[in-house]
Amino acid sequence: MEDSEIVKLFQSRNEQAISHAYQKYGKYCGAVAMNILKNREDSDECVNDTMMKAWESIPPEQPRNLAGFLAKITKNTAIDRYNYARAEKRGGGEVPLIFDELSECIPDNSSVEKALEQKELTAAVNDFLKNLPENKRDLFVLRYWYCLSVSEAAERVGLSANNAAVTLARIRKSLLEYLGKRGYR
Amino acid sequence: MKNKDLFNAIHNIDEEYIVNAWKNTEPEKPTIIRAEKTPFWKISLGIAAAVAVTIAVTLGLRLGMEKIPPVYSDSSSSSSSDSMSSSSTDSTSSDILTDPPPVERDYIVRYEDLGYYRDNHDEDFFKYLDWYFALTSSERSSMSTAPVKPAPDVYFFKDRPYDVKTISKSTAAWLDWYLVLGEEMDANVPSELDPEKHTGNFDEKLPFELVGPDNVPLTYGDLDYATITDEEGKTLTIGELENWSQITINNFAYLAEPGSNEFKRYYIGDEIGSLTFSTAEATFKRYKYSYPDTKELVNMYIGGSAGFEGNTGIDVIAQKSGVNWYKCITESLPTIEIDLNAGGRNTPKRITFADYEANPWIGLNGEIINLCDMLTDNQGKLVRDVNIYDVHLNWSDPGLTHFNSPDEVGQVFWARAIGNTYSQTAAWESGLVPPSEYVPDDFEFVGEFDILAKNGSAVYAVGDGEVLTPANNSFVIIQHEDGIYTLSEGLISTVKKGDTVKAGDVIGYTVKRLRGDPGVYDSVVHYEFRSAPYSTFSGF
Repeated sequence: MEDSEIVKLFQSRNEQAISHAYQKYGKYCGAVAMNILKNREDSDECVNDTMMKAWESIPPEQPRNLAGFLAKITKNTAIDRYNYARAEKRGGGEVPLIFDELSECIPDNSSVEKALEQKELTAAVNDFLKNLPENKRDLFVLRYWYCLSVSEAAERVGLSANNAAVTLARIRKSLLEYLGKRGYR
Repeated sequence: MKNKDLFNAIHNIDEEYIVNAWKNTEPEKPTIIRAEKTPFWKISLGIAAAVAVTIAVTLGLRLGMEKIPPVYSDSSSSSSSDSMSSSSTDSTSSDILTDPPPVERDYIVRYEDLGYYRDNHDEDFFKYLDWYFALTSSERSSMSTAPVKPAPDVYFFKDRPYDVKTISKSTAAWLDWYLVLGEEMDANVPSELDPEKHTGNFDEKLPFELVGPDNVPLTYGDLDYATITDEEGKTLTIGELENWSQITINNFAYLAEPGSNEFKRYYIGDEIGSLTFSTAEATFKRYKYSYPDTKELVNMYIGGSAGFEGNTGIDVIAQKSGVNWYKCITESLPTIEIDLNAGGRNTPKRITFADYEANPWIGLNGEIINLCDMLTDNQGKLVRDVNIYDVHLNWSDPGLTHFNSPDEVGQVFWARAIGNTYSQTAAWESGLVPPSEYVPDDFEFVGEFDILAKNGSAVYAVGDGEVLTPANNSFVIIQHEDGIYTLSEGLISTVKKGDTVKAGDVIGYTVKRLRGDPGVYDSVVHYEFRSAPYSTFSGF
């Protein structure tokens, strides 16, 4: 079933929407959650929660890109769950590493970004990604959006882990410069 | 906090980038190697016909009934080619797999796990098993013929270069079941599973006690919702299971109390105190999978209907008398399905539709069951009294059913009755979301069922009435007396709006429909009885 049809089902409060969304994107959302939570059961629950949230949010939401919409909900849910688990027991995972890596791009002593809206920062990142070659953009998104480990992301894009790590470092550097030009430092 | 800002910014990037990154880097699908040009179907057909028939009868009827697994398993039955939606491999009937498809599965079963069968069955049996387990459900579904014994030297399980195979959870459960009942299965396998025999053998052979949350005793069937792990959390195979305490039951459902939107998680075994029948006829109890052949309405369970994977359901075994449909709906459930012929192993009986030429169904004892009797009016009031005769009622996914032989043409292969208050039927079926509302005043009711048919079969009106739909339509809606409407779908109509028809009149002819089931019997007439001409359920 086409995404637009599924969205229409959501909007018409037809319960089939959840079923179809689950069938089409359940696995995908599960992968998104799994990357963050590293736990199958938690990921399963996360996907269930995602579908519930989608049901609650459409309408009024009208997702243009259903897969991305569901993925974002999944990731939010997964991070919430991750933070909750982390509050109970400090653990590893990719999220803290990613925070560390991204800190290069916006130094702690920066003050400019405080005056900027989060939305503007997102727009800047979008602009940056837009100008990035697709393969690099994919690598970046896999690492920093999907929270894949460097080696996992590298495998997906067909690079060695070392190569991917270097590429990511360069992208981060570019992002740092890019954001710097826009007053983020 | 600042890198968190960037983290959030990245989280909110254009969704196109997100989705494309995943799609663009999707791992390649597994390669299917064509080992020989000669189709193994041909090779094996002559040699193995007798064995195949035997096995197909003994195994196919059961193994073919594999339930739709949950979202992560191999057989999402999705017809979509979207790489996000399914991990199944592409396959045709002539493909020969020389390596198992590396799809994601839930359980691992090794040859060594086969236990009894390893020592007591001939090679043919294993070839069949091998063939079966080597394929995903969707691959099997894509086969145009019934399972046939595979070619020698290709599918022999224990001779494969690998020793670990992964199969779906429900398939593993089936395999386990065979292992437990090996001796019985080796003899004369009944066409229907005998629950009592099942239970007995199981209890004799496994001196363990399976205990779920809150020390609720569980049965074998609950394994469908279980994971088996050792003390360190490593997943075990069934064969490695040493005691039942290694099993973790992880099935649950979100349910809300009547009148409440507050969902709580309930696990297998949980009882919901306030959701009880007001009569002494039924109470909510845990679903007992290997139930004895009781006909009392005492088995109504919430929190996981084992055996119906992906379906968190409620099962009812209705008593022959004293229990009516109306009570089931209004006093306990927002809606309920009638699963007369799920074909599952815990479906004790079947009821056939008499050649779908007339409306009565023939019950187990020859009695007539009239679906119209199950209708209520718009006020939730029973139109006519009805008794359910030995009908196995449950919430289940109609997609779970399969039909396995030409004998089943003309039979009802799934049926259900639902009310419009159950706004999340599909989600409920998939075990996701509980009903959010309970029976309101404007209760609308639909009883529906599917009947298998050969392509081009005539479809008859089930009662007198006036046609509301045009000719050459894919469905026909007829207005009957008493405010009842019927829909017949899956056909090309030969009657037009305004026509008056009588029961038994031809109203159209069946067309082929893609049902996701194998075999040639892929015409399905979908009937609905309604309290309103158009239903919000089916979209017609």
